[in-house]
Amino acid sequence: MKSLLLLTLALIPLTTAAYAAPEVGKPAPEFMANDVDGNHVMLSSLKGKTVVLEWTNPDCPFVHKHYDSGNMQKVQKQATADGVVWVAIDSSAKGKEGNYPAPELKKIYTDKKSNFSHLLIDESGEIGKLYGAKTTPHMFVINKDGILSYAGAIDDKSGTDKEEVKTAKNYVLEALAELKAGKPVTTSITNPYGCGVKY
Amino acid sequence: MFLKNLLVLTSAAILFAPAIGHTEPVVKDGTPRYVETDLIPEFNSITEGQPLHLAITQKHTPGWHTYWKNPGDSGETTSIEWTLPKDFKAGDIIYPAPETQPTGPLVNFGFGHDETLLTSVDVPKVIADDHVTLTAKISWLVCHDVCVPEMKEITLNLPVIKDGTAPVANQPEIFTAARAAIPVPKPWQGMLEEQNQALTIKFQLDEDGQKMLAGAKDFFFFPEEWGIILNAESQNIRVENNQLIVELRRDTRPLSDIQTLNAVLTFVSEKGDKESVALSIPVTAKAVTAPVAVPPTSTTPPEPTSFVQAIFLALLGGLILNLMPCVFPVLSLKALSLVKMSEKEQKHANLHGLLYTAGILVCFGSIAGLLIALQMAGQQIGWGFQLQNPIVILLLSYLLFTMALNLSGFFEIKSGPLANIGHKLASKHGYKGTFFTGVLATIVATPCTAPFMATAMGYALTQPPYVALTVFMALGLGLALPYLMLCFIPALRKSLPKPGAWMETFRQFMSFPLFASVAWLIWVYAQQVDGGYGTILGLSGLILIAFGIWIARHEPRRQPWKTGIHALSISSIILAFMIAGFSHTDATQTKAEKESSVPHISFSTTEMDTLIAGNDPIFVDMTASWCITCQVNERVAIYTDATQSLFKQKNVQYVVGDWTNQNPEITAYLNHYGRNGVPLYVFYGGRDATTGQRPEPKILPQLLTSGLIADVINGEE
Repeated sequence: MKSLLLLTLALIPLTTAAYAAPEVGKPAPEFMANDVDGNHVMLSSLKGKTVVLEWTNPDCPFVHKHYDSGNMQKVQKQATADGVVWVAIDSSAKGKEGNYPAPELKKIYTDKKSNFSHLLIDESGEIGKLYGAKTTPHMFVINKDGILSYAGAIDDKSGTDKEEVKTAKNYVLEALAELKAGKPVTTSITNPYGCGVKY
Repeated sequence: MFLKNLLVLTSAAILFAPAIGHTEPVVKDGTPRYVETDLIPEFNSITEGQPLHLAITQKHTPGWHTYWKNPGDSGETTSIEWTLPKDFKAGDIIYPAPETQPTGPLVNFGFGHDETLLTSVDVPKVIADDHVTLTAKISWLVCHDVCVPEMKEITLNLPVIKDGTAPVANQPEIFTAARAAIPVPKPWQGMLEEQNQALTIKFQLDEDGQKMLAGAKDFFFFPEEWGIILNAESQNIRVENNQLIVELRRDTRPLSDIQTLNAVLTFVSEKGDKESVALSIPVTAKAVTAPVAVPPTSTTPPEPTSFVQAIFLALLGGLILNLMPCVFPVLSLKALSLVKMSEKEQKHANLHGLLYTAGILVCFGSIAGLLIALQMAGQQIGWGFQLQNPIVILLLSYLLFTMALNLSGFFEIKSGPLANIGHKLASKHGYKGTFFTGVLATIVATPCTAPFMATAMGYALTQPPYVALTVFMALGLGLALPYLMLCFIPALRKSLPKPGAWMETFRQFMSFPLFASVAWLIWVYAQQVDGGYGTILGLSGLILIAFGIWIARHEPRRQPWKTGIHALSISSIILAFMIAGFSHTDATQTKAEKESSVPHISFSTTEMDTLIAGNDPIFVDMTASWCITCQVNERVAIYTDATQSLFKQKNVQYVVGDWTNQNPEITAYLNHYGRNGVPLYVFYGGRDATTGQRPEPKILPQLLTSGLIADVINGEE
């Protein structure tokens, strides 16, 4: 009886941990999915490469700030040119803002001239909740050993004014540069800003 | 473009309107808005030298919410960009108590109904014009299941009152209501405890608090800082034994990021009223088990020290420790006592050497073990942690003082670890004494850090426990080595000076380095304890010790005098220990910094982020009052005219981190550079105007000269 009670108690954290952010400095949680082009994406098969996860929602004003100003595309281009695998993830649930069928979502981002490596649709919110993604954009950088090395905002200017990207300090670029130089990431956790992910 | 987005969003929102039941935005002055905002000054005029209070009223379209200071999982707080006349200064925004705004698995903190924010503008004492114009660009984010950023610019043109007429209040009822809605600050003392992912805060309630919370329910704890708690997790808040207990789930942001956790607690009182209080918990007040904000597996220390290198440096550091003023007197006298040993007694000598080494290693092992255990438990501490405790400092000074008195001939010790100092070493006896001399040597050595030690220990504490222990053992072996060799090699003993009457003089002379060490420890102690009484307290303790020893020497033969004298002696020593027991650290003040008259910036992680984001070169000095090397470096190399004028000329930002008392932010910074103790000097070169990049930060050696600093700053190194 007592052991049954203990077992039940031990299970409680598992059931409440459905939505909990992974810790920076620990291995990033594994996920796999097909991207909008039908390619299979699995985190563990990307070991040896730096991976960036970008939570996105094409209808969020904060996402607009970074795509309309060309900032996100520029950062994506710079990263992927350096061999980084960039995965954009849309976790909007069916019927919620920012949810589109694959071909439509693909077209939206093609029109934006995006430079990411993969675009995933995560309607169930499974990957989003696994990473504790709160906002769009919410950014994660995973190093070559699969360790979560950065989690937080794209930059330090949390408004919606497009002009801000010119003077902002881009945390993702900074983290990528430090990882490339073989150094620890100085600013590894920041406050993600933006619209809530539409789970 | 912005308008187009807005239109898309608005139409999307309207599309869903029947399903979720919210109304359309209000269209005023041509712009549709979900929140109707106004800016109301408390008076329709400005009085010179009097701050002007203003209310920001926000009327919501039903179903739409705006955000609190900490917006929670997403969202954006309301902000004001002021355009003000010269010498006017804008104040912070003051918020009413927030509510939770859950959306799916996320929880935001904000306002789902009309609310009024308050702010203020500081007005100069003299205004030249008779009218002033204040312009506020107010931006906010309003969300339902979609978000819309909104903005309004409001200009106030107010007359300036100069003849002393009383100003006329403008809609006072708005201000009365808004002020009543602000959470009431309460002085309840809060203590933080972090365990795994649970964060528990216990508040000691005063009488007012007990009354206020009696029968209260529906508690919610809103932290002002982001990333400290998981906002969507359920909170367990209750009142128990006059304590308010708040149990929360931790998010991943390290607690060391913040100094104080400010929060608002909302609840429904016994009478059924909604009430709120503002609370403030110093994070430094409790053991902080914060992970360093650096992914451990990807950490490559700037100067990778190899295991062999660390062992060698530790051995060298230990050897040099023998020469430190607190250790040298003890060891030199102990060594001289060996001279009298003949070669026949070689076996005994060997045994003495081994026992002495064992004493040192056991003591080193215990301190290192404790340090490693505490670190594994998540404490942000490093080498020298014992010295951050004033009680330890005072007890050490008592110990050194007693030893100094002994050496000076003030009294003799007949047994115990001190007994053998400078005395004839009985060939067969005193083994126990020798072991404890080793222990004693380690204890008196702790306040001293020798060159090369820091690198070795910094390396040790980033390694697995067995590697760390090995390095510490090497350090201990270094300390033991000179004596050990004298014991094992008779030829070496012969090279020591011949014993004679001079030894007594030498012994007395050796009390002075110890007295000097005591003076330094008292100085450190005085800076660690509350108020300005540290010096007099510490010195009184020393006098009590001296008195206790002195009176104990006068032993009358007859009772009750004998017992009386004993009681007097013991009670004065107990009194001295009570002084030590009553010392508390004053964590809020940083004394080493205060003491320096040189212009500098106090170290904090946020300050460093700001400075690094800027262009100027930065010189970081990590120091502590109890670190002699730090003091010497500052006097000899940093506070010098040459260095100071160079700093000025090159615009070098001089940042001082004071580790005299515990400071997890500084410990994290030291760890980042592979160090576990002070001093640490780091120079960040200025940002290159053409590339926009800063060069790699440079770590300076632990022994500085003005010339060396100049070379590094001028880039000639």
